[in-house]
Amino acid sequence: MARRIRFPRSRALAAAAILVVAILSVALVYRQRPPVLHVQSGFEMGTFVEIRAYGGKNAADAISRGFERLREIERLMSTSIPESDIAKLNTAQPRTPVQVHPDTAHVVSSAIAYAQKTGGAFDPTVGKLVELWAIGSGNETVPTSDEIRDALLGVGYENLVVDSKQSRITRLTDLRLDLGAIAKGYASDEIVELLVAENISGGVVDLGGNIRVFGRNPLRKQWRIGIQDPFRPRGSYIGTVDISSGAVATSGDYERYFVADGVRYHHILDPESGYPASPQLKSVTVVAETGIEADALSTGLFVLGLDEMFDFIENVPSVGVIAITADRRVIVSSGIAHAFVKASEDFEYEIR
Amino acid sequence: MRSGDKILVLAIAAAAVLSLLMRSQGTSGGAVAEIKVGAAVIERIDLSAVTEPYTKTVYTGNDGYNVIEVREGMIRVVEANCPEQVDVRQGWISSPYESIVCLPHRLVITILPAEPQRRDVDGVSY
Repeated sequence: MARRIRFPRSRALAAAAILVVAILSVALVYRQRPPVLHVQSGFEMGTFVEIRAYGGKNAADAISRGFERLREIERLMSTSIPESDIAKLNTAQPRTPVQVHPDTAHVVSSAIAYAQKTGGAFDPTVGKLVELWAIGSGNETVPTSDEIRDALLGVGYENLVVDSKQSRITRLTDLRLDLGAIAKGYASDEIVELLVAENISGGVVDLGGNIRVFGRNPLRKQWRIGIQDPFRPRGSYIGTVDISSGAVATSGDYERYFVADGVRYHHILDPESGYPASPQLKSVTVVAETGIEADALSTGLFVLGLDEMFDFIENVPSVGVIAITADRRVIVSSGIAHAFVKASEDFEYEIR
Repeated sequence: MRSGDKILVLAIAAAAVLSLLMRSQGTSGGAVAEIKVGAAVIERIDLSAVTEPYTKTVYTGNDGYNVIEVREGMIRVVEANCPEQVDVRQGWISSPYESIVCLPHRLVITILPAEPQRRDVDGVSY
């Protein structure tokens, strides 16, 4: 039997009063509405962009500034805007240094660093190849092997020199720079930095499936990101990964492709062969601390292929990978296996 | 039982009832589909109020069009003249925060919850 605690009535009343006040204040905190969600979406950088921010009165304003920053980056780094740094570089005389914005110099030197790390599997100098295949343009044809050989002439990140101090970039050959596989990731980091500086408590920056999260999620402990099912319509996912902050980016063969004579050609091109990379893969998702790393590596690891990609990330513990193969296997790297939850019965799952 | 104990029991009971009440707040109501072209909201459709299924064509500029089919609680793009047909292939959407995007036509259909609701995921990486 529990012993009855005896104490004077006044004390008991006071204790009860304190208890009631404590419970009420807990209830009040509990009742407090979660931070207000502000959402803005639009089409930028050739994709659908959505920024969601939880925060006070300035959240809507901060998001607008995020969109402004996005447009700024696009004006500097787009290949199709003639006044952009990249267009200027691509049309300048080879071996002539071109003055660029410090942001452009930063992204190009990061791109070179990822090219080095992946042994050229990710390479920002394949612009001519991208133009030749023109996948996503609506009037694609399969190039001849001669055309592909020509488009590969001068390709190679080692033919690109960045003077970071002076913000000058020099092409040693007549290669074409294309930041399409890294600029979105960089932009997502820049937007997050801006939102954090504006005291936004948490949020999601989604640049066409390149997702960057930060801060506190009022809906659950962490942020839960779905991994697209390559065989099903957009929005269906094979599983989810929970992260407290960082980036999730996917390169998939289903996003942009065309079919000619019954053969499917996707947009992730192998800088070595000049053809669409890794036919055994459907998609590669990279979980990393920054958007720029997730974006660049999702392309680079897709090109490396299944075995080499897992060799690669063994030496990069901060990076997690989820690879989906054409024969319906999902391979999750051991470092993020604890954060992954499967959501489909159509696949065989393994941890490597 | 002493009166102090009684107060204690009452307080705990009150707190329990109170927290139950708090929890049951914020249940879902009917969903609304919002159709946007670019930044412009073209239409908001209360999907719970749809009795007869119908289709409507949204002209998105530059000869682009998307035919949208609406039924009780769900919406889809049934036909469009965009090259890759990502929107048509997606089929029906019905859950809050699900969306259909037609990139070439800058068309977005999003299901908005009638009341704030928990998302299944905070994003899908594709």
